[in-house]
Amino acid sequence: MGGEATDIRTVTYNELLVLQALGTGSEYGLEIMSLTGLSAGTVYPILRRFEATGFVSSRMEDAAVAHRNGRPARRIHALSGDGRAVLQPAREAFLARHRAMGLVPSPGSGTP
Amino acid sequence: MIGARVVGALLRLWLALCAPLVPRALRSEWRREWTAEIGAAQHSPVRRSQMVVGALRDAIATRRLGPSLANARGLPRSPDSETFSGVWTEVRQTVRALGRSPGFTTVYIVTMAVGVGAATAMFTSVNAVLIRPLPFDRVDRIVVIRQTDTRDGTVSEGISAANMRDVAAASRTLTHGAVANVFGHSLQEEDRALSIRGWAVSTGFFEATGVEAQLGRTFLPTEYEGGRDAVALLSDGFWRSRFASDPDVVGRTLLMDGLSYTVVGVLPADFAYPSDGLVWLPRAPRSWDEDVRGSPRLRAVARMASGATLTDVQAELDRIAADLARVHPEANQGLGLKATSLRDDALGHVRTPLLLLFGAVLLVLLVAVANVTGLQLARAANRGHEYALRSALGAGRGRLLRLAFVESALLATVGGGLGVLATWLGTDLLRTVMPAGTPGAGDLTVDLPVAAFALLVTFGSSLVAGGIVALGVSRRRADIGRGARGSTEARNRRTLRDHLVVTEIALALTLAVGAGLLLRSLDTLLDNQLGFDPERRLAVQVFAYTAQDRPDMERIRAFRDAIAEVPGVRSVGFTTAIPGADDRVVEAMDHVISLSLDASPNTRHDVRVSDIDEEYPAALGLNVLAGRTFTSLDEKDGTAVALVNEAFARRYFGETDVTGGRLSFYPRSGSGTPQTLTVVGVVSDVRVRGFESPPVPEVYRPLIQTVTTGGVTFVVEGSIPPGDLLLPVQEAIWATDRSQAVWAAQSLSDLMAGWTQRRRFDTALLTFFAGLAVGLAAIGLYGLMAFSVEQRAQEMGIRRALGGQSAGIVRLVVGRGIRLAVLGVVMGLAGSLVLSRVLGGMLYGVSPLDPATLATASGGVLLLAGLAAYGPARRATRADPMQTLSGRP
Repeated sequence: MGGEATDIRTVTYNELLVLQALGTGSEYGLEIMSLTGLSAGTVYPILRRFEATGFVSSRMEDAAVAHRNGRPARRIHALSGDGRAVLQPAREAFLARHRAMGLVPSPGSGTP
Repeated sequence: MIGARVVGALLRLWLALCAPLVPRALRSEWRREWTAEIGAAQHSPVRRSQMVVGALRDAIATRRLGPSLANARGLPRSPDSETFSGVWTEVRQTVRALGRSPGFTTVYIVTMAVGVGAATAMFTSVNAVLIRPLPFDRVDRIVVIRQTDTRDGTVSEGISAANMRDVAAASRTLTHGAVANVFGHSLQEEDRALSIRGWAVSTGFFEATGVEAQLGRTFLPTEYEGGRDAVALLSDGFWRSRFASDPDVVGRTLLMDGLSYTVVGVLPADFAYPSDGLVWLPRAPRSWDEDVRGSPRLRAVARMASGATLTDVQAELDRIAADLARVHPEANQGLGLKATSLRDDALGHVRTPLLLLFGAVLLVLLVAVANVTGLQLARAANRGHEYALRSALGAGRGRLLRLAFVESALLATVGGGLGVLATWLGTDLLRTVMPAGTPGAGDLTVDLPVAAFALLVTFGSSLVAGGIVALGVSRRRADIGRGARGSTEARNRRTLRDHLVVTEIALALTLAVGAGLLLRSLDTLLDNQLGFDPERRLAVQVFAYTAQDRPDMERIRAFRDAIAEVPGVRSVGFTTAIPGADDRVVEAMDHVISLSLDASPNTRHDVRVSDIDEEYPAALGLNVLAGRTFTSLDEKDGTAVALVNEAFARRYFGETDVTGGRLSFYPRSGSGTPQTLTVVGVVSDVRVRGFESPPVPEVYRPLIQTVTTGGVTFVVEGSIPPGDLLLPVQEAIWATDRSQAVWAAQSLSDLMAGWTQRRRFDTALLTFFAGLAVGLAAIGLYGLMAFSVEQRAQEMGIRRALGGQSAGIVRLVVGRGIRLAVLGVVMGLAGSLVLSRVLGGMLYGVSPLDPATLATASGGVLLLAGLAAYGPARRATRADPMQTLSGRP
């Protein structure tokens, strides 16, 4: 696989948010932006990176469908099998990293 | 709605600008996707600016990930999908390569900065003066009318009010016609009076010019009738400075010469016609207008009727002039009328010199481009191996061409950018050195047209330079393809560089000849004797009238006596018409009067008359050639006396000593009993309109005997510099009368210099441009010779190893340089033939084909060429033959 391999152990918070949004079924860049609160300049490059890595697949919407909805065709994104597979480990790796720094509470430690 | 459309169009434009960053295989989908996303964003709370940034960052990310993305989407990777990144890589490589050649880079950038900077600066002037529209409504319909003398073809500065009134009444091709006369009023300040300069304009002036007030209104028809409440219009500058831009200024009053004027409006900021002024007043017909019908001192402006052309207007004016000459023969002998379009009238005198200088600076730019092209060709020769390697590795013709263009575009952009920056920083300086009175010179700015011009010349230059170099590079590739030897290609490129240097020398010589001709003209002009010595002399103009509006001779004499007491003053006298008066600082109050030598009204001559006091000839430094000057005995009721100048004596009496001659002056109305004056002396001629004006017959009368005007100019001769006398002399006037305004105070040498200011400006600038061109050409020749010596190092080494003498090598190199220079000189002389046709009107006392100028310029260029070639020649003789033969540095 060409391009930049994203090391799942060092996934950033923003990347995790995008992965999570895709995992909940968000398909469009704008949708992910409004769900995560991230800017366009952050979301789209992350989507490209994940697509190049193979975690995300994308396709242009069917023109006829878009036409019926009275709008131009948009790009639809979805988590690939690889992407689904890494979502949980990535989340855990992220939490573990931040837990080690005391940024998030350990399980069972109660509310800080 | 329109706003949303404009924003939509701007966003689409933005996407079009970002799209080239995206690899071609992904580009069309990327644009469709972003068009849809931006469309969808309009219905969401996402800000447009966020989408703008997002599109750019996404385009960059897509470019970086291009191959992987194309692969993931199952798209083919087109071989040229990396065009942009290819260019980007070349830009980076070129920047690195240029960093390794600081000498080449610096010379290239400085040369382009000089060429583009000079061209942009000159275009800034052309734009402000010739291109920017004049501040009038439908300026092409406005004409300026002047009286001419059909007997000798002279064109007057204007027209008389009575003649213009008759023209306006009789004309069918003009809808509105009006006159304007300059006036001076005293505005009382705290402890002294200030002079206010303005224009009194007759009815129809604002309709003719099509100007409306920015605040309030212009004059009502009844306000031109006189005898009513005085009203005034303010200039924008005066409104801002004196009334602090008060929006309620209309209705406020202005106290001038003890009379109250009600402000009725403020004129637009860019309006200053016929010239600068602070206040515009309505001009009611004057009781003496008819008396001065023959005196064409007022400016006239008119608007052409719909459908009328300038030719129609002129034909009608010819008929009206003939009628006026018939009806008023005493004042209108030989009367002609001339209509000129306002644009030509305002810009005609500056258009040719400005366009000439602009042409000159474009030649400098050409020399600069030829120079950097030569440099780049030499560099290309040194990078021959790199090109060969790239070619062998499969770099196509396009890629090699791109390499040449990238280099020239990069360097031209930096150089041109520096040039434009210098122009922008130097705009104030340019504004200062532009000759006074140049229309639009105050508005010199680097605006959109100037920026567009700078962009055009920068990229035009880079295209030309890059194109020529690319031609060389592509030839090389073809030669490599044919297996040609490097020497063939080197010869081709050498020939190209030779042509460039010859062109540079030709252009530089053309400019040098032009500058030489202008310099000689100025020199010849300044050799003219003015007839007086302007050094250490000050001109101070006042307008002194009694409450009854009569010239106040007592006050004028009191001022003279007070000035005479100022320490440092040697002598002081006064005149009504000071030589060199420019109507800008000092008003020219001279007038022309009909006189007869044999008391016959049928043999009258129009001569220039100045009324003076007895001290004036000495104060100005006039030489008395015969008889005497006036004395205090030539009093009001004494014998009417006159002085004449040498030109008068020679023309009308045929000899110099004409003392005792009788002159009969006719009243200005042309009828009535003439006044007879006895000539008591002859004085030297004076060039009253600067160095260029020929001496004209003149008569001087004692002002005390004529009392024609209260507007006089004191000539103050000092033992100290005039600048040091300026304040004390004005203080002496104010000490005598606090309410007296000083209209103008300027050294006579500055006043006379004003008449040659434009010529000096044109000469200095052309000389500067010629110097630049010659310097650049010399650098070009030096570069060519140095390169040639380097290329022929082995040949030189062999010559030296075989016992060749240094002198022979010097002769070889310098000889080649001189041969090229001679070719350039021959072409340059041909070019200067063309230039001399354009320059003809700007020359004075010098032939356009002045052999001395041609010889000096050619000799100078050849000498410089010899010196430029000598440096590399000497270096060639110093090289160790063994080292050069072994190829060691």
